[in-house]
Amino acid sequence: MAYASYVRESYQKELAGIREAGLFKEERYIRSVQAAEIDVEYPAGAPARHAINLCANNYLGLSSHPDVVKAAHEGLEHRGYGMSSVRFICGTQDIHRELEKRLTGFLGTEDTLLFPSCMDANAGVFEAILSDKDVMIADRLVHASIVDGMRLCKAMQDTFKHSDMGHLEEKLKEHQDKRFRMVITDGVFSMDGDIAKLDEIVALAEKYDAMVCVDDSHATGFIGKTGRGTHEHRGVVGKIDVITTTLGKAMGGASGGCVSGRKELVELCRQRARPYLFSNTVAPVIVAGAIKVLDLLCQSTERRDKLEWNASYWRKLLTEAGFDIKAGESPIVPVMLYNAKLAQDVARDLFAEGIYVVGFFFPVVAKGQARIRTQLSAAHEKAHLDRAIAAFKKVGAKYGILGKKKDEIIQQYGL
Amino acid sequence: MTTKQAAKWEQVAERLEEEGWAVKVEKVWLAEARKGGHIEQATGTTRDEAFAQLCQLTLLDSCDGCP
Repeated sequence: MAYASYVRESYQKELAGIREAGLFKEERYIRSVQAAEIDVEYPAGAPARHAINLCANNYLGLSSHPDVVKAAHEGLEHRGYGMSSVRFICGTQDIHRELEKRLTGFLGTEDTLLFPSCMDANAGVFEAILSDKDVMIADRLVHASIVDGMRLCKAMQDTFKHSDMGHLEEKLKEHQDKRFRMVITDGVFSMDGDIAKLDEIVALAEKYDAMVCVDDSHATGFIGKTGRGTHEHRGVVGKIDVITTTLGKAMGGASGGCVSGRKELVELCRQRARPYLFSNTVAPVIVAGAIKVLDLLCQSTERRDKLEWNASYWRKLLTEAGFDIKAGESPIVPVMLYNAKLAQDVARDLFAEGIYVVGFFFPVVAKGQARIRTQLSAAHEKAHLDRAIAAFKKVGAKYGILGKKKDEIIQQYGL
Repeated sequence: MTTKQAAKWEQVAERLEEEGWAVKVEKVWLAEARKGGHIEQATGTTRDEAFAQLCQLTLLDSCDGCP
């Protein structure tokens, strides 16, 4: 028995430190399917509260869509529950390859490889295709999983200031001596909801002979006129060398991710990417559901159109109410509160009003940038948003933040 | 390093080369930054190179990002 009391005490102290710093994450138990309205048990043991959900990545409202659920049932019935194997031994079914082909067509790339998650795709892709002769130049606000993937790769790591094309150009000039250059960015940035300037990035990449990699997890399915993603929105379909994305958000929200792009790069991932090689295959039930999601997206843009309308309407409501929001076009709408305690207090009071949101603060966002990240869904009806804004106004008035600018909120609550 | 130690390392290097590794041992600059229990380290053949890489590593670590 090596778990001695001093070892236990040490870990307990570490956990206490996380609590004292206000960084302890608590799970809320959802007692319903994922939807626009959910039943939330919080705190643990309390009776479930019915609430409008404004914090899911369920952008297209497909997480519990009856057609997707039915397809998943059929997948379960015809292809079983699990494969008990990695892909390259005996874990690849016909439907895995079908989904990869469908994703390739949808994203407008050359080939696609499924991963257990986009976190895994990002963890594996760079190490598989770059070496110590190369350089990765990442936007400074890329997702944590890209940072982890970059750390696992031997290529030189560099960054450019968030969406600063001048700085990116400087970096590309600086690294002309490297074998390959790869510019890495999120498509839609999860913290601020802003959209990468992929057209400008591609132009610079062409000028300075660099590849481009985009994590489009917060875009696939709904950004762009037909929901192909950020590359469609910015008019650069076919010019992105690597797209990583998830099935765990708009695309049904279960799990799974992929690397999609130039066929040689995807094939190298199939040969070398360790999270692909050493993880079990994506479960058949999820694959079957994801194929149905693609069917739905290819039949109609109704859902992404509704999401776009909802996002625009919600931004208008918040702005008119006097909230300080991050400008943008995406369905991620951050309500800026700057102070960590204020963000937590506002989230708690909104929950009491039947609106489920979460306060984000350092280290999830930069210090002094605490906020409530609201996320819209095609599952939301106008009535949901009208009810939500009434609650936001009530709570905003309680804390005296309506109509207040950044400096005034900071002056009132500190950072 | 004693002659005996050097000979031992030479043997190790030879064995690694037989296994297909191209082996080199050289002096480098080590740059290190610590914050609480977190540590970032970078090496470089020059002090500038080590510092520049350390700077990039700390920038990558500056923010966890929303899930």
